[in-house]
Amino acid sequence: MVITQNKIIKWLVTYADILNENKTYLTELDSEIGDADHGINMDRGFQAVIKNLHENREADIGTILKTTAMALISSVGGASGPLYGTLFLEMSRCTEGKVELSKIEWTAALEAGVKGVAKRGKAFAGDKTMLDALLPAVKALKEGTYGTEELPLALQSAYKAAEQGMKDTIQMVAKKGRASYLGERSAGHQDPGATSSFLMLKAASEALV
Amino acid sequence: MIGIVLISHSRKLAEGVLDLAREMGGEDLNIIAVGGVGKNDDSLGTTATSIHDAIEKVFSNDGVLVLMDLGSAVINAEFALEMMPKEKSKKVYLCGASLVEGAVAAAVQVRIGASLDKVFKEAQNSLAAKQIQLGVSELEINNDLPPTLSEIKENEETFFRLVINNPVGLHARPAARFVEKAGSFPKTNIFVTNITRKKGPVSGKSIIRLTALGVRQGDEIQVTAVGDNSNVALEDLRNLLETQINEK
Repeated sequence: MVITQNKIIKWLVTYADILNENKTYLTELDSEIGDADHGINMDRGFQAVIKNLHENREADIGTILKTTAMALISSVGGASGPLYGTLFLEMSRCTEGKVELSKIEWTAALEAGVKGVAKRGKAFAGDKTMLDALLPAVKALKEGTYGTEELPLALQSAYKAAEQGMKDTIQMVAKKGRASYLGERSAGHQDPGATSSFLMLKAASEALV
Repeated sequence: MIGIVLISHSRKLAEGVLDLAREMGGEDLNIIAVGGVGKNDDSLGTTATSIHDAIEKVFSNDGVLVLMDLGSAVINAEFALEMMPKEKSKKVYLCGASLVEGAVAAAVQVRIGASLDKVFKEAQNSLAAKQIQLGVSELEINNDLPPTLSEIKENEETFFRLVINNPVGLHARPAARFVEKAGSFPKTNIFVTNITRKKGPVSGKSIIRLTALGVRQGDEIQVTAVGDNSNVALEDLRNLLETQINEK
């Protein structure tokens, strides 16, 4: 089972739909501990992604992901723009010229993307950021795909790990981003960035199989 | 000319800071404001692409100083730099100063022809004046103080004393004019001491340090010059203080 370029497009479209449905929810989470714009920003960004995708239907996976990155970088106002932008940009570097990805190639690309996010945000596990959903997801995905799991099951494991990671952010004290201004008071709230990252992996488990 | 880029989530804020900087740095300052997203940049936010474009617009080989507000503005400024070729981006300095103080300090330094390193340093230290004014000791703020009095030879040829009678003291625009004039003597070290309040000496070429002296109306200051042209420098500075800064 391979991931074709059409599946990548399906993933992005599914994610855009999920973000649109969860726009208010994400913004509400962000209003608790941030600047109340995460849902709006992610939705604005992925509407721009979808618009650009229509002009790149025939492109290879690297180009599709690079187009996605550039749309996010140039249209999202908050930190999610450069952070998700970096994720897709790093993924595009690993998938340049490819029209399909094996489960190992997909895993490597996602891992490179997540490493890029960590570098861009200078954040670590436990800082109450999107990384707290992404890092456990990459770990689960690697254990699955480098082991014996077929792609659908590995994607499922990654999505479940991201969900747990997202829930774990509730008790964390924020060390990065706008929530860090709140210090101890940021505990008790689920991180909006971890939530949008969880939704991205949820979209992957639905669209890439 | 060194370029200055002001980044804020709010377009209006960035443009307002630009007005403040121009007031101190002059109309021909090579400065640009960037910020806001969406239609007419009306929503709060920043993007790496618009920051990149702004840097390109004011770029020259003299370099660019970039000042920003917070959060995504910082991440996007770093991202914008990575979009440029290395040989260009190494001439672009991202400065961690507060936006307003940093912009005003940088504008004055650019106006007096300081190097990019010096502009960066002055902007970086620009909160000191306000903190000292509000009672934080200068030593707590920085350990980069100018020479002590004993290091400056006091003799009649190299210093003069004068009472400031300008209503705002040696602050804001009067201070900027003093710094501009002092800056026109690159080979002369110029120091200012607030005799009345026993503060200083500080470099007369630094608006931040000069402002930190807290010279108010009625305070006596001492201006000391060391190095080439010190007599000419002192004459010019005395002339400036007596005829333009002090009111008749």
